[in-house]
Amino acid sequence: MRMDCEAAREHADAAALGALDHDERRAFEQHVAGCRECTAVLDAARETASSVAIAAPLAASSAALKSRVMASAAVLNGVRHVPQVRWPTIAAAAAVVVAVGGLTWGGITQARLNDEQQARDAAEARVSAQSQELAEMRASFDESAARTLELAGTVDQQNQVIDIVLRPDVTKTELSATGAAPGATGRCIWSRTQGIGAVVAENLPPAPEGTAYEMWIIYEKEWISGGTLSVDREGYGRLIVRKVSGREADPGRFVGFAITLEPLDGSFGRTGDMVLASTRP
Amino acid sequence: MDYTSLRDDELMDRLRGRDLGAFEALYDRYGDLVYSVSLRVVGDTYVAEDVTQDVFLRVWRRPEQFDLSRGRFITWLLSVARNRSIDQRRSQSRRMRHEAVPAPAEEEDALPSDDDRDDPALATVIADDRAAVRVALQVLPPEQKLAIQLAYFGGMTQQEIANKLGQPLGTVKTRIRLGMQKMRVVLQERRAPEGR
Repeated sequence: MRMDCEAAREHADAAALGALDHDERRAFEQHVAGCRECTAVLDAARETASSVAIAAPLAASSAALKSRVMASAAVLNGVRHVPQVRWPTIAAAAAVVVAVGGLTWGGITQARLNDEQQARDAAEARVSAQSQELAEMRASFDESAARTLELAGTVDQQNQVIDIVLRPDVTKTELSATGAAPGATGRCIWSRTQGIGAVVAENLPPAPEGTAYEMWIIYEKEWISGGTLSVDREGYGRLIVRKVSGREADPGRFVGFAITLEPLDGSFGRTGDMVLASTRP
Repeated sequence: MDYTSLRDDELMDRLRGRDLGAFEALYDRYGDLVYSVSLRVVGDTYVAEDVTQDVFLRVWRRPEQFDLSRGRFITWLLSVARNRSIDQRRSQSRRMRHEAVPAPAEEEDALPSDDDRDDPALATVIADDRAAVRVALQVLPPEQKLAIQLAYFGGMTQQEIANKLGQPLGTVKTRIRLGMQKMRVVLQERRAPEGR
């Protein structure tokens, strides 16, 4: 199906509303991709279509949603946020960023600022200290945490990763390849006090039939399974670990992490070769 | 920096420099609108929140995808929000293996709205727009308005609308085309010179 300018312009409104069927849309998009005039017609149609949304009744979104969005953006930006007990919401951290630019958070008027010069000086001193702290945190933030988040497949996974990243004791560990998969790389973010974390691995060779990649949290007395990784065709694997528990009441000193190949139908403890490991226990 | 005084495109310029304050200003300005559109399409508050989060994170991650030469920021943002919501709605429908999610347009008339909820951030930006659109929509015959609604909020193709309404496909196409043309003419007459 091919479309000329006349036909494309007849279809522009329906296209802007997303109302073309598959073949029409394909032909329309092919035409518009090479026609500046029809692109302009489509842009005008989109402007009209968006008006439908502008006039629709408004529903209030929650403050929690805003906090979630701001936290996600900040994490993606590589800004490591302080624990909630210190600054209750991500908005507070964002406020510091804003304040560094010279303005206060709530839109305090210039007149009031003039009247409260002394208070402002004190606030600026605090802001300066906080901004210094923020800069240090930014510098020390693990890029891999942001990358982990970037690679999380769904909003739900993103939220889980954000939840982990925002834990005060979260650490990042690089996983090194062993001889079994020399090209593989991996990393893990982990909150030891909470027993939660996330693992990503790249360049994993396809798991032999009947096996899967399993992640382990290694203690002196026990290897505790964190679950099996979901691995796509490109060898990218991911796993979000929630609340692991082992058989031992006291598994001993924490040693590190490993990923091994294990039978799909389960096994008691680790049986397969290590593919990635944080240490060589 | 008083972000509230900046135009959308100025805020987007700052977003390219990873300015979190600019991002927050955009969220304050349009968060409820995006959420409302999504809620209208998907019909579930939790899903609408996820879509809203996803839409704004796309804006944050890929601000370069907004091209001012192609139109206003709000047009682009609502297009992203609507498309993402429709995708989510279709995904929900597939999961449920039937059309369990009713087309919002069937339930009540979403257009126009007279609810000027107290949302100062949004009101300062699109109050004129909302007024203009209401006037534009008032001139539309109900059947044209319904066809546009079913397409925009219901994510239906013209053929699906024709099947649903029991009307010939050509009739539905005409309704959509005429309805959009009328809206465009009225909006062009009523809209003040673009500030944002």
